[in-house]
Amino acid sequence: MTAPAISAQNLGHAYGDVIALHHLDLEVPNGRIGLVGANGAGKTTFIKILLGILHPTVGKVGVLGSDPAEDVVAVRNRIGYMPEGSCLPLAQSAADFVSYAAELAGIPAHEARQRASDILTMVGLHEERFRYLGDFSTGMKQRAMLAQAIVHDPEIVFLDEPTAGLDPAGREEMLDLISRLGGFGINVLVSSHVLPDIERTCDWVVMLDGGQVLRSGPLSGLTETNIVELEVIDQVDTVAAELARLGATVETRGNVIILSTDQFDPFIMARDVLAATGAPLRRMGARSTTLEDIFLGEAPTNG
Amino acid sequence: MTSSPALVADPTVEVAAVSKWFGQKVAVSDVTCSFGQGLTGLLGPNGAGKTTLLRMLTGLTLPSQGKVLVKGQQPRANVERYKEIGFVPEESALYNTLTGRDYITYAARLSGVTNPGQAASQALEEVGLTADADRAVGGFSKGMRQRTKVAAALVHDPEILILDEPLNGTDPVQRAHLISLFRALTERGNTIIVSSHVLQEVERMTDRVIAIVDGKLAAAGDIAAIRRAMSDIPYRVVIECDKTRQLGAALLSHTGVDSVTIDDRGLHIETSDLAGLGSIIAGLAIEHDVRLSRFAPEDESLESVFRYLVGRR
Amino acid sequence: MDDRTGAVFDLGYKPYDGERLGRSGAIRAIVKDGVRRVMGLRRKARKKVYPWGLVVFAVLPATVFIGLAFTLNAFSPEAESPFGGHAEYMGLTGAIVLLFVALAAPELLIPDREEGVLAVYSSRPLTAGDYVLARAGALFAVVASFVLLPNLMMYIGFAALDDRGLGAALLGNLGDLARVLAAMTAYIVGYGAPAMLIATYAKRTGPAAGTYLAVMFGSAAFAEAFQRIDFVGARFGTMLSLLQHPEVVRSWVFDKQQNAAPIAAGFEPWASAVAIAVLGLVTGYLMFRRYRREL
Repeated sequence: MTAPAISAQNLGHAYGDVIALHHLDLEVPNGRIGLVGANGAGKTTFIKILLGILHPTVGKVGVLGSDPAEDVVAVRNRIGYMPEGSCLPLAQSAADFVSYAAELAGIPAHEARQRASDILTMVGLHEERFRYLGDFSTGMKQRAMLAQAIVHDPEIVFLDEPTAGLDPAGREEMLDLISRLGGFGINVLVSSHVLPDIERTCDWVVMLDGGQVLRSGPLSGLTETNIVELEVIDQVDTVAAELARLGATVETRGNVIILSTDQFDPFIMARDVLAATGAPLRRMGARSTTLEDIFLGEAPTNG
Repeated sequence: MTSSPALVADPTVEVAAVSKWFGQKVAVSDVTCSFGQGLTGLLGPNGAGKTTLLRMLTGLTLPSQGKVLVKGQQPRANVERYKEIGFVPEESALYNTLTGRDYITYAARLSGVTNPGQAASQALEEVGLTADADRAVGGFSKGMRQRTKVAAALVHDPEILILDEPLNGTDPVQRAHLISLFRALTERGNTIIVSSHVLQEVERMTDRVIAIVDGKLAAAGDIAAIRRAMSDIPYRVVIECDKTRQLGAALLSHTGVDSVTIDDRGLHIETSDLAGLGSIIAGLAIEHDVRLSRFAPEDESLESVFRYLVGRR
Repeated sequence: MDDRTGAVFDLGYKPYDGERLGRSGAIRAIVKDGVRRVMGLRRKARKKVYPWGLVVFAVLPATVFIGLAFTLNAFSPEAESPFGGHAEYMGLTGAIVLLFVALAAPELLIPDREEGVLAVYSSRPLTAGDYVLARAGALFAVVASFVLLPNLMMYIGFAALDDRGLGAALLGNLGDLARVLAAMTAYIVGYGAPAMLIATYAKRTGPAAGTYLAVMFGSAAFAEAFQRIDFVGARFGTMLSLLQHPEVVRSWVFDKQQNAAPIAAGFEPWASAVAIAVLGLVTGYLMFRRYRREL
């Protein structure tokens, strides 16, 4: 039975009088995990405890089955970390630093250089890798930071705001790289305020609020509903009326119709009414709650 | 003469044939656009001239050629124009030892506000920082620093607000709060220009954008209209159903459909006639006894539009 | 039948299944990196000028000393070299050690902290204590190298000139080597510890070096002042002379005349050795505590 990627039992931490985490219980399986929460909800504290930088005031925590408070070296041996902000020495070249980052994990110098070279190619840093990190653009720096986090083939990587400061193209590439990490057998924990990033890259979401776990579960479980939302180009009232006549619960907002029914298959119903009325369809799909909706407490209840 | 979507009817900020070069490098090349009441998104890849344009709008730099006019006057030449502008820069420009309230009061004094304390309190209230106002800024989280900067830019009640990545580091609750604050300001008549890389957020704040790519004006106006203007790029639609291949084959025989691709997520259709496809899809589904579970355009978002703009070079 | 074959090789991600040296490998890497940082290796050329320049100054005079000794010996074998031996040389290199650690300690500690690199260390098999020891170890290794090298050269050179013959002299003068090692340790710890301590808290390299030198020279001036004050316990003020404690130890082990403030104030030479040891321990403790918070 594999140990959960991340676990916590009655975890609590206080900075003097300020309680950052309390009564936190968690069990998260391997995979791609998103960590979300308001500023001050305890995300940074939680990550620092997972890294072994902080010792919890109360309770225990587990990373891949080991407790960093008990054996920090054993845990750190299996993890990678891409922090928020910069973690790069400006006076060294990328190739040099990523190679050093591999040696720091105990990889012998020769292999470290080879490994660094492969990883730098993978993240898209080519001739520029021989330039000093101080001369890198933001996008290049983020790639170098990702390279450092995976060069030693860790079992789990913590990424804190990995797309911060990237332009849309850079963000696209970073999210793509992160999505691929799962395929390489590397577990991922992404902490981010940009909820669409989490929706795109993660299968499991942990939501922290006020130092406790608000929700923890598969992303699909949190966001799928059995409500159908459809948008038509015109004839919205005709379509809505017909659906209501057939017994569905209907709500209209502008050109958007939100429909739910227990008696029939809402998709078949929608299809039939559209064909019958000849209303041109703009879009249709299961109404999904976004993480943002959940966050802001506006999640529609399942019909 | 038709007016370009890059221009507004009643502009507060005008950019007239502006170019800026640094030695050999042309950062901004012959850009003409204007901003008026409401919120406009300013977009562009890193290094594309967007930041330089922002600096010219705030008067921090002068154009090499052309003019920037704020309410009809050039900001550098007429110092009172600065009172009309509030600027929130991207870099952290705060004095860490001051409290939030002190910093904002100081900003108020610098702008010559008659009652700085009161203005500061009001600005703090607007950004939701009243509770933490009397703590030192050095202890603020990123989101709080961001809100402090916004408050400092608002405190002298400027008509024009220019914000560079204003939502950086804010959590979703703070973000929603700030976005509704910006919307409220535009309703009051303010001109707000927001530069941001997080396009999904820009979409939520506004329908009007100005895009700068390689120093030139690449697109301007309403997002959906910009997409429509890219008529040479067919629309992409994703369709999920229970009989993918059958529906796919049926769609192929439809003249409006340019291509059909099948993958594990469903059917991906390319068509130049999106409305037409939407009209026939339900009938086609019934004809082939297909249960349609999803029909969604894939490339109307600002992100997709932007990708096309940048890819067109 | 077509016998031609072709293959496409996967350039994607490959897991690493090779050797992993664990914690000891990590520590060794930090020491190696520390040596490179301090000597400006694998970095911009201008970062090499200061350290290598100082090293040349530390080593070159030895060649002169030896050359002169040989020349003198050629003319009058019985005369003692007036250019001095290990004791004097240690005094010379002491100043170089001071100048060297002034910049080396900040280079070792400040960029890692201020540029956020500690985050990388926190995801590798090592602890805060390992990091501190490895950095200190790198500094010790580099400084010891350029202090020992010229002394070893002189040791062998003088032994070659010795009447007893090379072999017997090498063994017979071992006491000198032991004294060199003792004095060297006093200089490295006595000068290195305050430099590391300041670099643990300072934010920028230049000001850190400047503050260090100001503190060291200032402490000597301060101590001199205490020497002249005439109230009970004033003499303890001379113990603040951080600059002079290693010199006291040097003069003590080589049995030379002492003229530093603490001695003038009536303290025994071993008090300086104790002061250096205390300085080293306190520095180690404070550094460990500071780094434990961030790593």
